[in-house]
Amino acid sequence: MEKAKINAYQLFVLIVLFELGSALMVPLAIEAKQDAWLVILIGMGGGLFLYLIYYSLYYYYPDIPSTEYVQKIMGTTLGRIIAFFYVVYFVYLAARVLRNFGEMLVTFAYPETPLFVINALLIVLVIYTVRKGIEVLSRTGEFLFVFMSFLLISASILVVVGGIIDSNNLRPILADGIQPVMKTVLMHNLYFPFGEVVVFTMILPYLNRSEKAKRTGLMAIGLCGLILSLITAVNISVLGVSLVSRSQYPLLSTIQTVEVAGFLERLDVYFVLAVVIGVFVKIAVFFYVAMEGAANLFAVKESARLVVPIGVVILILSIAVASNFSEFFQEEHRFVHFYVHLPFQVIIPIFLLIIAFFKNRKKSKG
Amino acid sequence: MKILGIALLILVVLISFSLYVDVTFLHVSLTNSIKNVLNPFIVMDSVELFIFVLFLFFLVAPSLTSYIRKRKKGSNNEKKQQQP
Amino acid sequence: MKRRWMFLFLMLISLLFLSGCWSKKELPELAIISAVGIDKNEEGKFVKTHQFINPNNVAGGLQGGGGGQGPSVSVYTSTGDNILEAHFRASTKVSRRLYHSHANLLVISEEVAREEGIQDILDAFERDPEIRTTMTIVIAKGRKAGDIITSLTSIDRIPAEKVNKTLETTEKMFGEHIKVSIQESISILESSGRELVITGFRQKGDSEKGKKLENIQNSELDATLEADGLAIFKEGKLIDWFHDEDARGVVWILDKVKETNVNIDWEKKKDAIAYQVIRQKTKVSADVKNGKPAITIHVRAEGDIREVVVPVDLTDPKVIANIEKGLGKEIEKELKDSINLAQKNKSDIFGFGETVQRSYPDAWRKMKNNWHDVTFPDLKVNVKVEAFIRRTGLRTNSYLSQMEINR
Repeated sequence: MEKAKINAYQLFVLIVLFELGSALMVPLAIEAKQDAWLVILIGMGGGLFLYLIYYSLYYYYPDIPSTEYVQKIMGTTLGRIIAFFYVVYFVYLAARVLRNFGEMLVTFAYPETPLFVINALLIVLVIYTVRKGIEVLSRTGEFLFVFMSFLLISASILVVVGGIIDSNNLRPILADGIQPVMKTVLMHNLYFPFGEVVVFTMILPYLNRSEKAKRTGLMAIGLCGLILSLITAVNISVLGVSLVSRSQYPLLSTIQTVEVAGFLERLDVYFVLAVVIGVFVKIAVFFYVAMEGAANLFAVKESARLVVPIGVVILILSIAVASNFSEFFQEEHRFVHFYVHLPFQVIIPIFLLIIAFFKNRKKSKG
Repeated sequence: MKILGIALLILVVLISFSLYVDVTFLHVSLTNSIKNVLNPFIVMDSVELFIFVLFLFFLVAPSLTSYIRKRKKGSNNEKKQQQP
Repeated sequence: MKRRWMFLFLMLISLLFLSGCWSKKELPELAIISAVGIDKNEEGKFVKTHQFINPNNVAGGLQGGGGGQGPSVSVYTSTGDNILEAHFRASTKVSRRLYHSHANLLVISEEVAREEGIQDILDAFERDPEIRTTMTIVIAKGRKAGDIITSLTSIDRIPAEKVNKTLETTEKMFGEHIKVSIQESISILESSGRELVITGFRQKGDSEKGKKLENIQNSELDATLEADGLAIFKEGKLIDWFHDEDARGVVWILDKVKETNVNIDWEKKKDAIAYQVIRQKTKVSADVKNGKPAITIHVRAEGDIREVVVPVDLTDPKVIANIEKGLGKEIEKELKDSINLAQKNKSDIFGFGETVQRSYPDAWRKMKNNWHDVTFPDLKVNVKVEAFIRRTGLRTNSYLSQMEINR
């Protein structure tokens, strides 16, 4: 762990930007058709619950990151193995987010630029930021958050003023009952994007006032849930369910439809800016956490020495992870959401919490 | 060297994981999924290739320099020991 | 005293030498040639057509966009027994000194290329210090070279520029034509293991109308210039034209295709899926066994799906893999067709001979003499194509799939 402190506001900003990151870009919860916004709200509830689990673990071990307390809870050998898999998991997610972002830029704006070059440019930026440490990252986040809020607020004004919202597209609500909604929550949206706050188990120890961790985190996740739910509802009401489900980037399509006063049109840059900000923070957080975790695990004194190697690994992996977008998307959808996120975000933390609970009870008794 | 080892370990674990996903869930044969991993790197522009090699260089260079420095130090120490 | 005289003498001498260049040419004394056309007349003499730039009429911006009253180029023709004579004879008609340095287009008529071959023409162009050998060559298809030179064009005001830029753009975006310079064609002519390919240019419409200024005052020109086909040469003489897919096959094997589109049939619907190649690499390698050469062509292309007219599930990686296979076969067929056509013409335009020569210099020495007529037409060529689909544009499935579900 590096010697650094962040304050509650910075944590809040990091969580918000991190959650919005790639979730802004892709169609969320569209399996539930017009009830997608409801899925996201319920998913948010689950996310709040998951955050409480992570918070309780933090409560038992407020000074050390999760890769370290895993070792205390599970014993050195098993704990190290789990911690290593967490590091690998973070690297993998960073690579997937990077790939998704690169695909977006290549598809939408730079068809002739190689994916590798676009990914390389972003990863160079992230490498630089991560090398500077968590304090710089969170201050960058503070700065970008202002931008992001401006983008979101002005974009929503434009969408509303543009008169393209047709709320009939959102009806009927719960046409097929609650079952498909709950299924989508449990298969996808509990984990992406809400469960991904599991990375903050590594960042919480940096918080300067630990009593604020609970409120800050819950507020950030709540805000994100509301924003994402709103965006999904707007997407569906503007484009209709069918178009959203066929779109790779529904928010982009929505923003492209905005035409206000005859000259405020082709606002694609809004989408790109928002996604660049979010994805940048998201990759940086994953990256930072993976680096600190690896440094901690393998007893590397200067974690900064790991920056470039892990950056290169993320870059190579982002290219190698799939040979085309369909494969990438199917993997994400059919496999990663359920089979990868579920154990890392839910099962292992709950398990850890139970053991930690008993261990600490013994201690306090003794 | 250790740093490089960590990076390679993570890379190998994740590449084999992505192969595993391909084979079990998308039902692609192993050879095809290996091809899928490699083929994005095959069709590369010269500029792309250059950047790629540059990154690999950055990956290897620090470990290599430290290794060389260590060896030099080691041999210097030996000489020093021999001198008296 | 003596030194003082010496000094004066040196001063005078330097006055003589410092006065300026030996043969200075001021800009207003020059007639700048932008393109040259080579034809033959009935007497068998060369007809050289020069396209001169009218500087006053090109600089449109200064005169309020109108670009002057006259056409942007003027054309003069002259005849001679060889290129040089025709060149000098032009001075009887043009008031200024002919200035070649800015010429970037050489048009040769199909007739000359078929009957005389182009080797007699190029020497004059290569030797002249003023002419740049990076000049592009095109063949005037079915017309006289003079017709291409005289035709006025819109958007690009100088016809030579138009031809050059059209070639560059279409080579990059479509890949059925290539830009060949004088230098390249000479080195191909010299080579024993390769034959020449040059893009054809055609004038569509009435050549008389094309000369008039009214031509470019229409929204649709009466006479336009367009790239059309690849001229295939054998020993410097034009023998055949390749069109469309055959032409692209040639460009593809020469590894000059950058972007292009390939259509495949899907579920019995013809040309149902359009694939855009964004980058590709083609490797040609040779293999000699028992004195018998074989060529392997390995193409790796990557690109996007840009259009589907059948409901097809593009989110399924397996379907994508099937489409990739189909695309590979389609491209393979295209390449094989153009190889067969070239083999029928007994003209090794792909430079397979050169490939053999590079890898097997000893074997090449034996087969060099009858390469084009005996070995090449029966050459075994393996074509292996891998096409990768990377993306499908902004949408995953087409709305056609949704229509099918709802029906």
